[in-house]
Amino acid sequence: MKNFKYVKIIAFLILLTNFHTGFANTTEKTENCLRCHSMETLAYRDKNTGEVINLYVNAQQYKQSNHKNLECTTCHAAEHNEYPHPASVKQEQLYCLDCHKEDSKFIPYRFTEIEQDFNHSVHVTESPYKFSCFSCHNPHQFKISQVGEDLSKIIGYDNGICLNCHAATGQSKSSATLLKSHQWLPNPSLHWKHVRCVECHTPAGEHFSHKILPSEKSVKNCVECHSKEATLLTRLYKYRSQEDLQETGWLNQAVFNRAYIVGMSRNETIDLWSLIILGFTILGLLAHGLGRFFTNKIRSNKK
Amino acid sequence: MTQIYLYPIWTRLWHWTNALLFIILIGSGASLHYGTDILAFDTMILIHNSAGIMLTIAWVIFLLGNLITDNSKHYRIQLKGLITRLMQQSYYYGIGIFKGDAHPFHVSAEMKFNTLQQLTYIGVMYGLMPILIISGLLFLFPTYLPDQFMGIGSIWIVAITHLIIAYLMVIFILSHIYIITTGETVFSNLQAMITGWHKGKDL
Repeated sequence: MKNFKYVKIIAFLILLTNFHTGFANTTEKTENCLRCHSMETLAYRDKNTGEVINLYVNAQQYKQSNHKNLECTTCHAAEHNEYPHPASVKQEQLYCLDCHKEDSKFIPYRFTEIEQDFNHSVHVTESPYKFSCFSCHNPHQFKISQVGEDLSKIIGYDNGICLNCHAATGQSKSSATLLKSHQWLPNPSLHWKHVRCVECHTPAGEHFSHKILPSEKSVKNCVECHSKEATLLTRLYKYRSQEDLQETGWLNQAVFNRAYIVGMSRNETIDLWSLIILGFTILGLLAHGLGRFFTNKIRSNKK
Repeated sequence: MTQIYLYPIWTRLWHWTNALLFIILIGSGASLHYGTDILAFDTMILIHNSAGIMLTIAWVIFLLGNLITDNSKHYRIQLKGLITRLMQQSYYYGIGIFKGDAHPFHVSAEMKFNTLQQLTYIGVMYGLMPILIISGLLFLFPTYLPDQFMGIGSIWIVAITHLIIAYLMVIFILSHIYIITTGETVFSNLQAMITGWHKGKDL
């Protein structure tokens, strides 16, 4: 608590040096907040829970995030404009959908659907921890992926969110546990590099779902991705094609087609019947040829 | 023995280009489909897609060739007596050929295909080929597809269409390779497609 007082004093002094600039625009207001909150060590320990509350915001990542044009007090209580901040702001409860649900411009992002899926997610129904959007998404860094971005970076970023908890040292699900639970998966490192965790750990559908499945309900059958009904087909194939088209142009897209995934054209029934028909065709042609050969021979002998 | 110049240079070049491309496409396509390790996966994709694009160009050349030259006459169906000719041809391939019957069809400059051949080639060139090409192109440019069609992922429909047509094409090619041995001699039709000259007693 004593340390927190020092932090507050330092932060206050820094803020004072900037007061002459006023709050002319959003960027300046944000900059004023960041003068303290971009300090990596800005944190305090909650005296009730003993939990370290991190108050650090990575300024560089914030300025590249989707929220970069918002004033801090768009989401945070207006009391934050006062300094020192009143104690009441510590009780602040933020919820993404307070903004995202009502505004019609967010309809394409299907936040209502996200909320419903999230409430059925294993993170909510099974986890002993209290989960919120912020457990996975850092609103000060969040940047929605766009077509044309490097797919490996998107996959790395998305998987990083999961691995942040699930492969964290000292956690119940360490890297070793993760490797063990994915032992069944052929070439796991290749999959993790090219496929997001959520492709298998959420229900298949046209859009990505926030309903994270328990491990026993997650995809474990190769053909669910590598053939019919493929999540990969609907979600990934078109995305990768769009990406290729933008990055490399028509001809390269046509020739290299990085989107194709082995097995995506496989169907056991069609393959089986086609091979049977093919086999009978070959046998029929061979039989016909032999028939011609022998009947011709017989006729030649008769002559 | 008489001979007739039946296959001009452009049809022969087109035919053998097609033949080569089909061998490449069937080999690489089977490898991609079944996931064999003959060549690197990316290399197979490159080979298959390049050959597919060349086959598309070859098909357009075939269409243009039939528009510009009189080759299209061989693809015009004569409805009169069609069923009879079909029955005769089928009887010949099924029974007559084993008895040493004379071929019911006589090749001429006006008509190089027997009725069964003609219908098969029309079906392949104007039926299967466009579906194969369109499904192949949609495979390459899926961004223009809806996500779903009648509740099924449209890319899966494209993939399965391409697969079924590919199997039918394999059956056609095997039958085609066999049927050309039913000419005057086993290799006479093959020679004709190389030299352009059809030789036969029946001319």
